[in-house]
Amino acid sequence: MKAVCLAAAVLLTFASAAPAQDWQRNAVPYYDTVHALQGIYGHWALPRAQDFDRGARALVPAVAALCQAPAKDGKPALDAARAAWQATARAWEQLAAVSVGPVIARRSQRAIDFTPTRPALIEKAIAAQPQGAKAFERIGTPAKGLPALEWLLWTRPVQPGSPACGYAHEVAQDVAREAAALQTAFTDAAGTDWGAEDEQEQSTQAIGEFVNQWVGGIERLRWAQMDKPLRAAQGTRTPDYPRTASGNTLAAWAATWAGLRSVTVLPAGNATPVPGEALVPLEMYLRGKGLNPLADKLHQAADKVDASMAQVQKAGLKNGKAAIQQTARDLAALKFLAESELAPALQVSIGFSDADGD
Amino acid sequence: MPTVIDRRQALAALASLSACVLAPGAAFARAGAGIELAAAWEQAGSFHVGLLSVREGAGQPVQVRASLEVPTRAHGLAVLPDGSVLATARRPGDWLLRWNPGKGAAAPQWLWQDGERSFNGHVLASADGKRLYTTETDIETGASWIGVRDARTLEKTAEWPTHGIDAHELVWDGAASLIVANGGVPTAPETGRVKRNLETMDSSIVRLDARTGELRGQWRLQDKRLSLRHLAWSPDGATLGIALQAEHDDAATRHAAPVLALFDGQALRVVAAPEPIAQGIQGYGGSMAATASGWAVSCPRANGIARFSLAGEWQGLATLPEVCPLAVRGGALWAGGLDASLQNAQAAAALNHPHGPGLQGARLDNHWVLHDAT
Repeated sequence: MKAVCLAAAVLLTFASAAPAQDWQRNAVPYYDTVHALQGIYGHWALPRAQDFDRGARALVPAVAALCQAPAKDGKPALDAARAAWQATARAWEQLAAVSVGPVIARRSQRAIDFTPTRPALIEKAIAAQPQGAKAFERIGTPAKGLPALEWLLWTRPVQPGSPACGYAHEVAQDVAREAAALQTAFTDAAGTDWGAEDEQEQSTQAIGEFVNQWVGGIERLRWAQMDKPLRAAQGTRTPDYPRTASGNTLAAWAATWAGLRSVTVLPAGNATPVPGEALVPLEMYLRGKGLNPLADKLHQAADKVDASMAQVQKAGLKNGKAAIQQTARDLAALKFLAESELAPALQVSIGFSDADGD
Repeated sequence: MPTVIDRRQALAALASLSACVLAPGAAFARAGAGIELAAAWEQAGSFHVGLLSVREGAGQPVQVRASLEVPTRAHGLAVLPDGSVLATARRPGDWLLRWNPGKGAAAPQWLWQDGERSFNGHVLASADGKRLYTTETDIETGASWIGVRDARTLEKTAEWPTHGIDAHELVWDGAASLIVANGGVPTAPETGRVKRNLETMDSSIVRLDARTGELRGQWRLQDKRLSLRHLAWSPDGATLGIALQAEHDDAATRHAAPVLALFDGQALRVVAAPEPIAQGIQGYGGSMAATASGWAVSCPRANGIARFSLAGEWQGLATLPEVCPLAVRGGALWAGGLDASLQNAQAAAALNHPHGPGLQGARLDNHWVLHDAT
């Protein structure tokens, strides 16, 4: 009992020492579906799509410079292309963390982030030397996109002036075309008058899609990116985590979690979102509806993921098995909370749990 | 020249293999005071495969006799002659499991997909238990395949196209053919859940040569928005019942859609429930079974089992909250629900079995199969 009291006292000390959040001092406004969608599309997805577009546009000349570099400058040019790829990949991972609207409609994940990439198909595509968007449509998705470019920059680094480098340049341009199309599509979507009478059905669908894709994004990080590669390796080989070739796995996980986290909770110290003028994280959306206990639970669940993810980053991949497993458990707990309490509170049907289509 | 036997002979031969459960409703458990079912369920966010046991007689609880936590949702199951349980993942379809419940020393055997294919949630075994047939999807193209696998290693030895997309359940059609349901619903697997371009839906059932995979026939319904998904033969093996799932854009049309189609070997036809009952069934059949009493389609969204005579006449809705898995034992239908299961579920006086403590808060997945180990 003494230990419990001590722990409680410590917690109280921390609680009283921590500055009160803005929402604890001031009344939280009521947010409706329109405010939520304005925030998601205008203040979350659009800036991320713009970042991705900027990154992808910078990637193209970086790869072109590598292809044109004299042999003696090959190494710095390769490093520059790699850095551009990393910046592009991080921006994409943030945007794709919650795949809404155009990302789904365009099937962007499939188009530019298909895994596993297939080296044999890349070799075949190099031999074919496709030029331009039309020719690139005939190249299979496992031979293009960010994973294929990762293979071309790290696994089998292309040489300046080589056909492989020419193909890498085409891959970069293809990624840039998709990024530009997404940026345009999100600009359009951000201008949607979600409150218009003829948009009501679309608004209902859009908020349902967002909640489903947020849950799906949590599950993709937990399972496809962390737990599945670990389990499938069965302790006998190196887990096939995403972005392994570039050594960017930890950065990719961090970017994806950052994307997910940003729509989940309000960062400490941030002002309460003004309806229609900022992203309304789900925590604040709940508080606006007076659902503070559920918002608190959501915040705590996200904090646990923060803590375990920090352990993963600290331990690294080689020694981080236990931390990765803990993060997977914490993500699973967040997903369970989302499916069992948050979605019902928002009157959203979750695709996975209603056995739809099975 | 291979010996060809007809479907009735094949079903009789399968029924004589008392230890071998090949598919839901395809064989009988050993007679005794209890029944054991291999099932899959979700409980507090965790997924499990396990054996459920229950004694006959009203009020006897359904108990968890053995269970194994699995990383993601398990869907279809099958039991091999040695008592091992096969389970396949569904959405995401990343793994196939062979598990020996009760044999502690034997580690579960896992087969992981490499990212190019995903399991669609159903597995079928050959009569001798040496070969497995799994429905799978090519992640890149969306085309469906049958994976033919060695039951010992779980590795693929051959694969055949199903001539459709979204292949789901498959059953034997005699000893020489397979019937496969192509659900036909286009999805974006990278999102895990999103259906797309439903106007291009193309659902069918196909008959494949079980030795070569060659296409022997393909049948479609007129209404392209009905997905053919779950399969069960009538007790005489003459008619195949198919549970349907409606995908119409219009909610009223979807909710009033039929949940049963029948295939007599030549043609497919839908069987409608009478109005206004049809509206309440909500166009979703979750599992399929048949006994001498008739067809049973579980309708979890309607919290009941839609019952039809073998000729297709409506017999009523047997109430059971969130009912989905169905299995036939000794001519009686066992149906699993949210808090309880029903023995003799097609009878006017079905026997209720409350779920025991191990299943509190659990949601059974669509299917369970008999496991003959009690």
